[in-house]
Amino acid sequence: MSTSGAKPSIRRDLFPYLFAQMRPYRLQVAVGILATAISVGLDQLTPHFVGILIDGLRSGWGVQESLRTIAMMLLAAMFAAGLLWAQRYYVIRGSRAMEHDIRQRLFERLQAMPPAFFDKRPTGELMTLASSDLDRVRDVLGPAILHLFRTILFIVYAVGYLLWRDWELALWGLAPLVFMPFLANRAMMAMHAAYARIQGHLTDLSNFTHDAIAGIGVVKGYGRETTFAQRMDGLSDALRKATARSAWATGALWPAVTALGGVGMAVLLWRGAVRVHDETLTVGTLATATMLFFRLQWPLIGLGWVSSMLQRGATSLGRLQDLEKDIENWERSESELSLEHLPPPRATPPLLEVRRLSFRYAPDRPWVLRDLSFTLEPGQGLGIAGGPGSGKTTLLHLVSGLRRPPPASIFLDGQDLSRVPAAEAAARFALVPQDGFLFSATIAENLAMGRPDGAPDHPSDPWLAASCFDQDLPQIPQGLQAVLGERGINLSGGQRQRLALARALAKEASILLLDDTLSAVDAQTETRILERLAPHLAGRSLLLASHRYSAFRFAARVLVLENGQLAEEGTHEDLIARGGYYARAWQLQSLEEEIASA
Amino acid sequence: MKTSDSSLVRRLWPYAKPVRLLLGLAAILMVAEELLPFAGPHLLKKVIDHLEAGGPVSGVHSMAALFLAAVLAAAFSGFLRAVAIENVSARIVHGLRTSLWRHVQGQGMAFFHKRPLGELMTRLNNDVDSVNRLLSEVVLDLSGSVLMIVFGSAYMLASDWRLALCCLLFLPPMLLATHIFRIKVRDSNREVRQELSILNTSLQENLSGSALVRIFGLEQRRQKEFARHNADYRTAWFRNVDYYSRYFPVLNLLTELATALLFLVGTWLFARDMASLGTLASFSWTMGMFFRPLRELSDRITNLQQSLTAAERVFSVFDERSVVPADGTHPLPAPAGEVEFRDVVFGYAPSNPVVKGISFTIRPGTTTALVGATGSGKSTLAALLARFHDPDSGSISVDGVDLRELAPHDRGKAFGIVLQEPYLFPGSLADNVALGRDVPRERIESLLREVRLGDLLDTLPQGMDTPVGERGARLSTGQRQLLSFARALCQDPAVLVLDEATASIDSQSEEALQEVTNRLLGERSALVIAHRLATIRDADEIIVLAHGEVRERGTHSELLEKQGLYARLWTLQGSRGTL
Repeated sequence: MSTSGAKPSIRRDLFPYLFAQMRPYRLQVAVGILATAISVGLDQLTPHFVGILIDGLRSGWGVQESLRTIAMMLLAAMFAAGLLWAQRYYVIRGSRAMEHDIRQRLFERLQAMPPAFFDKRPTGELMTLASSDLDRVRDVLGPAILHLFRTILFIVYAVGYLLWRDWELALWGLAPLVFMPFLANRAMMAMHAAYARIQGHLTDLSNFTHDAIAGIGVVKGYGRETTFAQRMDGLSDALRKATARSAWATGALWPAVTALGGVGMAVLLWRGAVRVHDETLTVGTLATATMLFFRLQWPLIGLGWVSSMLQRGATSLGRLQDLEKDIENWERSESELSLEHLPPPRATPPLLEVRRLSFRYAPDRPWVLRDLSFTLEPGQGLGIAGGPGSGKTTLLHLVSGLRRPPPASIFLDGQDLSRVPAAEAAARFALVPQDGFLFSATIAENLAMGRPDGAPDHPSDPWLAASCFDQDLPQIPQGLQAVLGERGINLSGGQRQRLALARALAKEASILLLDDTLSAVDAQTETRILERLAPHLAGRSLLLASHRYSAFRFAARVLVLENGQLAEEGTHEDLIARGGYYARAWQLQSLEEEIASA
Repeated sequence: MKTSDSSLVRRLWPYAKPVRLLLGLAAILMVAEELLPFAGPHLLKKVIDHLEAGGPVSGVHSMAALFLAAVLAAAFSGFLRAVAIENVSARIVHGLRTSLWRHVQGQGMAFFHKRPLGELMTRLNNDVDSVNRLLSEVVLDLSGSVLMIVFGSAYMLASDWRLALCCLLFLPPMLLATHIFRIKVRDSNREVRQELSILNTSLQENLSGSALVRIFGLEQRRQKEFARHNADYRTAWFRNVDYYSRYFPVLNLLTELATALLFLVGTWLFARDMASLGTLASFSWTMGMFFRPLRELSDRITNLQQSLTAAERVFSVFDERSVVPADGTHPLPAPAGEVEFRDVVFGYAPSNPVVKGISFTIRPGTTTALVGATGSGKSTLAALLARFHDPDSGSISVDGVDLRELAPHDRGKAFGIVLQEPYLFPGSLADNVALGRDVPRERIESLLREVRLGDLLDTLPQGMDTPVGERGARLSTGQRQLLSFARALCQDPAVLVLDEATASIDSQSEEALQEVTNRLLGERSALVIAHRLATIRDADEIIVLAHGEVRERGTHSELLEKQGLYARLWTLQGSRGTL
């Protein structure tokens, strides 16, 4: 909670950054500023004319003079209204445009980052940065700056006017108001601190409900309802107490702020009236002063709001700039590598060699892969077996260029993959991830993503047939044109995986990598897919990771990984005969399947 | 809308009743808080009229003092009101939250299966918070605005009805402008939300699918698409900004028109000695107070509607009742562990039974193994034993007492349940064993060692106080299962219900798991959903389930003799490998 820190200060680089964002919109911003400057000035005219009118009436004005004053008042008001429109329109609109630009730039840079970048910056965090943090920066660019500027002008004009009309009266009334922005800011800070405290209790409650509902089976199974209800009582009561306690602080602050304004007003009224009595002040001036004074209170209170907005904006901007710094570091480290290009692809798939590969995600994390060596001959099909966490997925990511492998550990036709541009390496492989990730687009568009040219009209039948997705297609009303995702249809896990497989086939890469791609597909369909896949594999190599070992009947050789190490190796039949880890797991799986098909 | 609003008040009342005095006090304070500011314009009028009439300066002093007193009184009632209302709403929400939780917790498992976790979380947290905001801010702000408008009208009418009409004349067009604005902004907000959700989906997809973008070289294409969504979102906001840019100038203009009309009529009245200068000056002040709440009215009505919808969602949870009736009270302090399923029929949907009339008995100290395909009903039998659901017909009893009549605490103690994917709470190892029960630390440690987690315990710097992470993420699958054994053993249950893990488990845990399972099954009654041949072979009775019915039953050797499904499975397995 950096906002609740003891002394949140505005970062020094806040304003240069903001000005840089405004640059493309400088004309609009200039129009907005001009409109603000004039309209705030015109706003002061109503109290002015009211005062003039009152004094005029006292001195026995006729209808004509009164009408003229009122007409001028109206004219000024109409101009002010038009200019108010212009300032909101140009400034706030401009801030939305700047928000758009920042988001677009951020997205483009993020997209160029490799998957390893996202280990440290999980999607949820980036989403927050791109939404709520960006919103706060935008609030600074639009409403905060506009309001700050308006308020400063308002104070300058109003105070200047009051001083000009009667400096002694002005000083009397304004004296208490000096504390107003300070007090308003304190109010804001105290409220933020209270919210942060309450937020902590809310988080506790939210965590409690999350865990208790996720584990409701345990709660019920063990008859622990009473304990959990009591925990809820305790957490909820702690929140209640915190809320009630902070009410003493937050409840006191706003009345204090308004009371301060009221005291100023009382002093003004008293001093003004005494002066009118002494005939050193006109009634009109007193009326003008009270009106101006009343209007001055809200912008002053608003200053507290603006400064809290600036503070939060600065914190958010700091987070955004940290992210940009991270991105820059990556960009720099990538550009410092001396990379070599791969030769253009040949008709036969390349020889893939893994030599004594060890890998961990960070120096302080355990090894995921240890001293692993194997060779994938051109056109061969190689299986990788192993339980969850055995390192299968990491291996496939290193091979396919999603992660940069350690130096001299993975070779493509003898060329060290760690020194090849990642995108170039990725182009040689077609990886099908386990989750069958699809984009919210039509089925045809998702398939077209596999094609290097992106043409959606490419005949996709062979791929759909090979992945057995053709059997699903007739059940989908709009067929290939059906939109997937939140605003479209939801495919089952198996369907998603089959479609993802078809998409990967469409890429026609020389090495196909299947990362437990058929985990959600039933056993019979899996067999059918693997059979249909065979003709497509002619002239291609295959690395097939799977937790279901029946798939390995189709592999020439199987590597068994246990804790990132090569535990066993051989054909499916060899491994079963050996009676090791592979055989045990296979037995469990086939018992399940036998019972299922019985 | 109206009827549901009033029923909402009725439903909130039980929670508000204990604090009704405080609530009444808050209402009185609020009236004072909104009424006292009118002392300002009123005293301005008095002062000016007093001076115009050539009154003494002492009158000025006393009126200024009166004004000061009113200002301070308003501030003080504002302060007390804020404290009172926060206390009231915190109490109401506390009552609402805890009784909502008891209601939710008491539902059958069907209730939880029907709803995604996220949805329930939203009801219990966000929507309850909305009710809090409804009480402590929304209703308050809105009634503040309304009171200010009502008091303002009343005060102006009382002080000069002709001048008051000049102001009130502008109330209808202002309310109309506000109404139109509110509808436009509501639609525009909806559009903004839609575009935002599209934009966020796109962002989320591109981030979580970044590997895929790279594999297929989709950078350019995805970028173009994101740019389109980003621009659409901007356009939606532009429209929204347009409405706001027009609304406030229109309000300002109407306010100024009112001022102009006021002075026009005021001048005419003054010329005829029908209104004083003080009245004119005080009206120009009152008008500022009177028109200000209108600027916020639109947002406040929108807030009210949103909070009301949230409150309705909260109460809709109360209206749902799933079929598990209240727990019984029959005590069973020391069960022997005889479990009887008698003609048990159960289906998640009544028309589609999953368990179709199953009967069997587990004698004290024996093991019954259930074998069957996914969907054969074996996990459902375990769920019925935990009373996640009640049978549609037939009965389940332990030591002759029907589960439905058993006190929940004793039911919980009678059964030790180990699920295939055991849920671990994010606390420590010890917390997950104790589950809030009062268990000495030595016992927890010995239990952990008993299930062969001793080696793990010794390597952990914080020992059994080490957090297990979200859903036990810091433990392996095997360790999680072993921990749930310790949890089940903690209460020394008469009956152990075990759903064996099928997922591949590393060799070390696998061996530990086998040993612990064999040891524990020998000591008490057990119902095992079996996947491992070793467990099945040693069971006292094996029940082969198919489509919710018992297909075969008997001991291992009896079933082999029968030459049925079990025998076939056994030979298939046997030919495949060693046991």
